[in-house]
Amino acid sequence: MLEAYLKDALVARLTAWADDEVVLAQRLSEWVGHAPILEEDIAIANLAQDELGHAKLWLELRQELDGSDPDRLVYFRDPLEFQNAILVELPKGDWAFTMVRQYLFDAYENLRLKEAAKSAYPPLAEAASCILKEERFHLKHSSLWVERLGQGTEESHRRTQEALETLFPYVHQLFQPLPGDEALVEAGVVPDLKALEAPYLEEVTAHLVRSGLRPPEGGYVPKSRREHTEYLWSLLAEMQSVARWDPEAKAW
Amino acid sequence: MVERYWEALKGVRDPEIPVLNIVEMGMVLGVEAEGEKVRVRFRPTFSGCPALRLIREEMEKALRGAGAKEVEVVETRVPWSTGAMAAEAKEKLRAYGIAPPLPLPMAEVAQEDPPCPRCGSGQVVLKNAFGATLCKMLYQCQACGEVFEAFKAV
Repeated sequence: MLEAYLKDALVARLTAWADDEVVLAQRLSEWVGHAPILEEDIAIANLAQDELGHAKLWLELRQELDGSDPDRLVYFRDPLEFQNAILVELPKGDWAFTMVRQYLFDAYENLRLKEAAKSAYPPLAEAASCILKEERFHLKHSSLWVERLGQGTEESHRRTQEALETLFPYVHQLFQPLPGDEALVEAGVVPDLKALEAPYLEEVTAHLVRSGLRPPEGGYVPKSRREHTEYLWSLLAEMQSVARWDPEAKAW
Repeated sequence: MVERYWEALKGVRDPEIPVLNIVEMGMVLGVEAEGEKVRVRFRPTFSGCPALRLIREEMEKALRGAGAKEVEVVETRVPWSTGAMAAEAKEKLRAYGIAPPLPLPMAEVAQEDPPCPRCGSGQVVLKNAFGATLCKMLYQCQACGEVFEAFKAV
């Protein structure tokens, strides 16, 4: 059982992770029917569905702690209540932008989940192990795409490098601690994200350079997960429209 | 009495792989009966599996059909693995045209590809790491030309 003083901190942490997954799933789903080739259309629908499944797992853990309803949280919260990182809410852009974002996010998830699978809080360790099994396929897929695009044609290289210039500074936000994280890390409930940042940067930089790309230095890093861009508003308006239109419906 | 409920659960199929039932897939972790009350513990295969709701309903229906008056289906987070799949289940998959999952060390560490379920050749090419459902990948056999699905080893 979780000690009472850790409960609120863990609720906040789980919400942040779940919101990353939900918002990214929505962005991925925008490609369904529009991906460059049929195989990728299928793949991206799979990715979106997996990320939603992961959000469900995190929100069910939260539900066990505070009784909140996962559907209400996803479909009826306002944009300012969402705790996702800016990386996942930026518009889908071109194929290079989507694949670079996916790679940067997948590499972070794999690293973080490997650590989270050792959590002292068994429900979290189990959820992380389940998710990790699926995430391995994501990382394999997106890392191959980054390589293919980076070393492909002049145009694919240019687009991929441009995507990286925009996206790379935002990855730092993924490693920022929330106010309650310190206590959670101390109790061994969640991994120390700050400690994962250096190995992460080393791993992705190596892969990006191998793919002929240059990760940019500097850039703006959001200060907290309460910060959002205007793009989150339209994303949620679309995602939540059906649920808000008919709140009494039993399933969407 | 419990055996009877296990038998009933063998009638519940995964709608996305209709040749397999949920017991041989290793999804059912335990069945407890107390009088006419039955409690089943099960684990989903993939977390975002859209068939989950239907499978739960089918489980409840099957158990009621076997005489249970009260049914409780508990979804656990115990990670599922293709290692839990019975040998007969893998054979059924192959006969159905889906390459069964390789043992994890072969698939993950050695990065081996599954042989073609039609001609058995090992000369296969991965076409897509994602398939028509979350649990499958798409391959093509270089020997016989067959395009086939393979169950992901997880």
